[in-house]
Amino acid sequence: MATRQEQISEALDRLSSNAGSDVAGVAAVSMDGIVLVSRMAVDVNADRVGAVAATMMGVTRRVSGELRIGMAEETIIKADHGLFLVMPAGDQSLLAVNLRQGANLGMVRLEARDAAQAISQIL
Amino acid sequence: MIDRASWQIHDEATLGELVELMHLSPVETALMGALHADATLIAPAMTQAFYARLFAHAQTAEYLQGVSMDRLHSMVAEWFTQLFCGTYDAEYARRRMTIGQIHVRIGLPVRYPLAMLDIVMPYGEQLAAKSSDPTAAVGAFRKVLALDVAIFNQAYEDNQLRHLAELVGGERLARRLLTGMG
Repeated sequence: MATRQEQISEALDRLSSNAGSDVAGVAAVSMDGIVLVSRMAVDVNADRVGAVAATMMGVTRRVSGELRIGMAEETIIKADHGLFLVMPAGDQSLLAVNLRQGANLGMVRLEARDAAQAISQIL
Repeated sequence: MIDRASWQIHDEATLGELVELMHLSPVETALMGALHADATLIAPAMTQAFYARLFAHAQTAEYLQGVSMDRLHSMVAEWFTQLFCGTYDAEYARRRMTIGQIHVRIGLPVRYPLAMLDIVMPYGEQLAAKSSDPTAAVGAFRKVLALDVAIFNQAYEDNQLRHLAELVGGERLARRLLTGMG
């Protein structure tokens, strides 16, 4: 039987495969910023991205709470040369996705939600 | 990043841990307590020097505008004499933590209370030198002052950590960010 890390790796690989070239990197991260599995590019410091992704999710939840608009489902940064998407994967972890410029965000979000759901069930 | 046992110590347990760490002996606490009456006598001179230094520096003088100087003199004199109270338990640490928390609330940078040890130390050491055992009393005074410094710093760290943890969603992540891992 595959370990939980192997199962998470499979979920991330499935996301990368289904989203194709739109996804530049993906990682599963604990809510306290520890990288569980990373498929980020080699020139990306996955540990730092993990901490930043967890911070983004924490701040997003704080904003949602202050505004009383419910539970945060995702947070997205759109930059000149790409996008960064973070969403919860259950209560204890999150999914971070680095998208290339011009990516089909709608399609990637659907795939990301499936991956986040899968990770939440593994953990 | 390795989780440290010290990270599991919070709130009042922090104060108890510090008291335990300083390990003041009964002889030391007795020597300090014996100086309490004399501490009240030199406290006014110490507070005069204390506030003269603060008023001479624009950035610290700013914190003294529009506040009762009589009250401040009284508070610092009380703080100084309590260094010689002779009982250094969790309740002592809690009272000192409250002072640190007030400094945090008024936005006073921690470097200022720490720098003011330059005024406090000579007065305390002069007083300890009059003890029946001057060498031991000076050592005890330095221990108590170190305890106060540690508590002051803890008040600032607790405040920063609490706010950051609230913002990002957890203390462990906050510690990770503060160490530069993020």
